[in-house]
Amino acid sequence: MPSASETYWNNFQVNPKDIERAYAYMVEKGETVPIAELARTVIGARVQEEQERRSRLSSEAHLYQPKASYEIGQRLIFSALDDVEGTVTNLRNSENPRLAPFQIIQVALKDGTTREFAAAYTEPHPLNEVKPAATGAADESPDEIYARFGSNIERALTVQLRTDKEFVEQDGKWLLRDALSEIDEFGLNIIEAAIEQNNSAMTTFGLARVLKNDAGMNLDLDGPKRDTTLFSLDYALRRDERFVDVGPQSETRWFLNRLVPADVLVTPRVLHFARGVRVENELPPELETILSEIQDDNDADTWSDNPPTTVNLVLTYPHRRAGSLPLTQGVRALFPHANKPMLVSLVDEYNVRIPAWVVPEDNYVYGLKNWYDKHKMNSGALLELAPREEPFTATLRFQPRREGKSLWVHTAKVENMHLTFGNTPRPVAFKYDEEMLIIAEDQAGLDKLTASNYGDRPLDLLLLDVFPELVKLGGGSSIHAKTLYSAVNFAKRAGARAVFSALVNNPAFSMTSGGYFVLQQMAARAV
Amino acid sequence: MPVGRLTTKSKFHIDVAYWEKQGRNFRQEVYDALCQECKSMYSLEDVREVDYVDPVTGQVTRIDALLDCASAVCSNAPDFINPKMPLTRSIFRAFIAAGNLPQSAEEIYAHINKGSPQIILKELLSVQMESEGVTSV
Repeated sequence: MPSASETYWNNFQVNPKDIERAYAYMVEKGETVPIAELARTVIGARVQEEQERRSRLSSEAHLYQPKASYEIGQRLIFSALDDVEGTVTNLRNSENPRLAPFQIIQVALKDGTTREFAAAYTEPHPLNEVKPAATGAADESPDEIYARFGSNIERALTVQLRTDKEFVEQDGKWLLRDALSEIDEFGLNIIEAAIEQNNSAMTTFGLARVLKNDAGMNLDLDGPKRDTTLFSLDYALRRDERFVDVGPQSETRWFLNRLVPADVLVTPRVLHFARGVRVENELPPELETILSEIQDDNDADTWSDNPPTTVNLVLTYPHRRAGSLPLTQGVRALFPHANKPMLVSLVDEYNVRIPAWVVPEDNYVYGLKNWYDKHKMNSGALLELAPREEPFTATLRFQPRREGKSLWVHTAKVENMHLTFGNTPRPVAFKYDEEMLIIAEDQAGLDKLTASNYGDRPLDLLLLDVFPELVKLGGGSSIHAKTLYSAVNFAKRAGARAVFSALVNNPAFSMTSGGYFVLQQMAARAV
Repeated sequence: MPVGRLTTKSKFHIDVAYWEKQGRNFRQEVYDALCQECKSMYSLEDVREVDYVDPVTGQVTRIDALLDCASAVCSNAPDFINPKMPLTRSIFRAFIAAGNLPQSAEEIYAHINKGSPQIILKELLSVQMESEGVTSV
């Protein structure tokens, strides 16, 4: 059976007095207040109110009920009037022909007023049902109440405050609307120009300094109103569609909406993941080893608190075509946590800064198309990302290779809307993974293939399509798992674990040593 | 809560003194609105105040007997406030049904179930309601 405290606080409902207390607290504080602080204020007030009520009830004051009779000198508590206490000073008979006779008591209330109340009243009245028993509101300390029921109280308070236009909310903090610093159209225009000139995301504080120093606005950035100023600026920017927050979860950083690349707002089709893939958590040890060398690219990655460290990646076709990188667990560790597109910088070995967008929803980092073109990159290229001291930046490296004599490399092309491969001599200007190097030969055809529903078939079927095409290139009937992974990505973006799982789970394929697979029907045909 | 800014929680009533100043008879207006039961209990000429018990606090105030009857008896009659009535008339009747005790737009809305608290607040502040003596308290 729940305790009185549990019953009271589990059924907590916000009343107008709670809102008034929150309002008064915020007026007094004059700055932004987290919801936790408001919840504690409400809890504290309710506990105190109940304690006072209990002490009054125990000091021989009676709870007023219209049905009861009273005598001059009796002390009463009026629950419907915020538990104000009063003393009966006079009695008289009622006068209303519509009602049965009752008594009227005159009461001198502690607030200094004198009022009349019904007594010995036989008509139904809700106060007759009020029990004089104390509630469980003050059975525990405010800290204990907050620890046990705080989240519930915060939720109820948040819902109620959101319906009241006097309060404004942002990132779990609240401010009175009247306390918002005014950021006018002129100020917003200055901010737009500043971001454009900076050509990079700017913090709220940085923008506030621009307003203060360049636009001469009277903003408190160092005094007690600093938080309120920044809150107000964030509030104004969020309501202006010219601006977008491109910061991590913990920090607001502003950029211009019109400068956000379309491929950040809408994931390019070439980066859509293969659907309905059954992914095994545990692969054969050989494949796990291979996987650990190339990093998985999948849509189930989440942020972890792993320390940032150097990450080695092998470029795959979807990322080469889109100008992106996979946002693997290792890559995520290089940047702060984000739940929406975040603007970062990648710095290459020539110290060139490349603006890039972390897009956590579809697991990619966008903005490298020109860089890939400039360095003549292709799928199979070895890339390295490394942490840097400067926040929101990481180092991006590849290993250049003297192009010299052309190499015989695998190429991908399309014939009759069907993915196929060939061997062609080509110069290669970067170090690469030998099993994964495949160069796009027919880009227009590959783009048409991406736009078609060719890649929407199950990964198993795509692998069954791709495998014989790779065997045709010569070099035996067995194909390395990494080659299949790289090749099938020309049809549809799929992570290495997903591809390896599809190979392991499909009885048409069997694994030989060293991470190689054979296609059973082909093997049988060969015998 | 903010002072001097009217919201859907702000209380309004009919200012009877305004009717007197305009030379109009508020009691006549109330009497005309009364249901048959109250009309049989009181006449227009029967000017008297009675004890009215607040349904929430139990506090007793002295109010005109016609208003008391309207609030206790007529307000329960289905036709006293009906959906076909114009909104301003429904609001006026809601004040009579409450014994002309101060009411907010939200409370009136809960009673007449017409429009919305915001629409009722707008009506309460309209010239038409002002001419009926409706004012904030």
